[in-house]
Amino acid sequence: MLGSLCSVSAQSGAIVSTDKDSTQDIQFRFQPQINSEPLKLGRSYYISGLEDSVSIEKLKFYIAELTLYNAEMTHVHISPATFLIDMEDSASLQRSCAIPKGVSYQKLSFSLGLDSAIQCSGAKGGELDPTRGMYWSWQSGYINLKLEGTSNSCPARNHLIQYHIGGFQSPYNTRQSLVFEYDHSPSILITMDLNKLLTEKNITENFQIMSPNQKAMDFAKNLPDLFRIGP
Amino acid sequence: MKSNLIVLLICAFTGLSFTSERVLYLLYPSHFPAPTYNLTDNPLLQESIDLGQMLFYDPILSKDYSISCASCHSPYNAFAHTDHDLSHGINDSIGTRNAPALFNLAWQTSFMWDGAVNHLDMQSLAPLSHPSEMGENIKDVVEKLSNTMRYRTAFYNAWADSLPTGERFLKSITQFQLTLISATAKYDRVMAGNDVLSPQEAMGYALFKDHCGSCHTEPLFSSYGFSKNGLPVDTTLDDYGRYRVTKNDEDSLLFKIPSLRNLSYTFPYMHDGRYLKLNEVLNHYNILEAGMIDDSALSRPMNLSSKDKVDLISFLMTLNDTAFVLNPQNKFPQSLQMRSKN
Repeated sequence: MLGSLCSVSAQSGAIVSTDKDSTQDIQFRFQPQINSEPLKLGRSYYISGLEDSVSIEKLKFYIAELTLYNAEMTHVHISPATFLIDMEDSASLQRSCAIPKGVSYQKLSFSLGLDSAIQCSGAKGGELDPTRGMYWSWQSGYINLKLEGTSNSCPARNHLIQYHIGGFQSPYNTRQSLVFEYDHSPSILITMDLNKLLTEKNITENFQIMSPNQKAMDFAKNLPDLFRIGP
Repeated sequence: MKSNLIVLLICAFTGLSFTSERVLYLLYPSHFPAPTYNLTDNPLLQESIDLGQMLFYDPILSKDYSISCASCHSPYNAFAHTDHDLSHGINDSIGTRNAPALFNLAWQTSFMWDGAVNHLDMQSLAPLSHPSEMGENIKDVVEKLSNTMRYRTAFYNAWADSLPTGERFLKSITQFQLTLISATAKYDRVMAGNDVLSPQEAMGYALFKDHCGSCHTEPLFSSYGFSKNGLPVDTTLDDYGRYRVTKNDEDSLLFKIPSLRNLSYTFPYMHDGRYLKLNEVLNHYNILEAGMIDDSALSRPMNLSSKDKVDLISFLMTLNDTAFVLNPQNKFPQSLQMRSKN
């Protein structure tokens, strides 16, 4: 699906208009949740299934290639923006982009993580600046998703759970594409259900993933399941 | 000499108009290929090169203000760490690899002995963050620079904004490193028709082309690819080279092929600096036998006689670029000599 989407958009080109009369803003709100509540960093949550508490200290991830398109794929709008969603910066959870008016978009897609063109072309600024703590120093590449927390069930030193999920080169290309139905709403809530991540296996066995490898791939493949449109 | 240099035009530069008249070009001889670094993404300005040079020589980059890039990449040694097998860092720590010489970086597309870094801009993050090198992180370095008036001025001059950012920091260091071009060795004069090889050097050149030139490709004297060179693993380091990056068994013991330019300045040799003398390197390759390693380029024994080895080394000495090593422009900058706290 993504392959054909990319080829269509490459032919028709991204429509980037700044004309206020012909565009409308749509709002994206990213809301990570635990136990169906909006996540608060540093707060302890009891996770049934794990039968223990977990506290998340850090959650950051890259969203790129936000794309809207109609069913026939004749109208495709790709936002050129790359968003670093960071729980420590509440403003980063609310994003907007201008889209052409009068088109009946029916699907929304975005990628979780960055493509190889960004990863291979040198130093970048803004949300991609390496000072943002999302670039590896010992090996080139961005961390697509960083999640850190603690749980007494985690056998690591200081019970620290550390997921730095990245890698863009085959066979460890961890970037994920997500596609959703879209209902024309100008305000879109994107929920991230962290309970699906806080499984017993992840906390007691796979609690530390910090380089591009098979474990990171397996972890990344499960990430799209966490996201949904709506509460 | 100037007439042998051609100018690379940055035709596509369409950046801010206030800088467009000041954009500089890389100079290199006509027997060099075009550089691979994309200057349109980072147009060269004297002010950014100067800033990069300040950063390169300033120990402010390390956690405890003790180690600069130049600590292990000295201009007097073609920007290598002569006489040290492994790199040094803060708190007297010792790294795991030999600090490579720095020159002709505009022609390289991967960096570090294992190719872990895919762009020159991002290379300095590796020593900056390594606990046995500078032990710092880029966020804190940028903050330290922001609090230093000298750097706020230098960033303003280079980037029309006094605010240091990670991107500007990295691109400035890149700019200085791009200017480190070694292209004025005797070999280069010969290629330009301004000098001739002695009979002994010419015999060495023939041996070089027969035995070395497929990996140490002219005129940069490296293909900048990776190769297994048959060295046994040093079990105190357990370094398997490119395998660490790709996790692919076939890449075990692949290391970056270094350039043979400036060999007189860059000893000790190999990725772990295990050979102090060039003769030891030649002896290693001379005794490699078919089947010892699966690299076809090295599967044919060299069988060099003692005389052959002397001839070969005499040619390799024509790759020493004294003018580059002594170039005062590349050395510790004036701007750092007047130290003030702020």
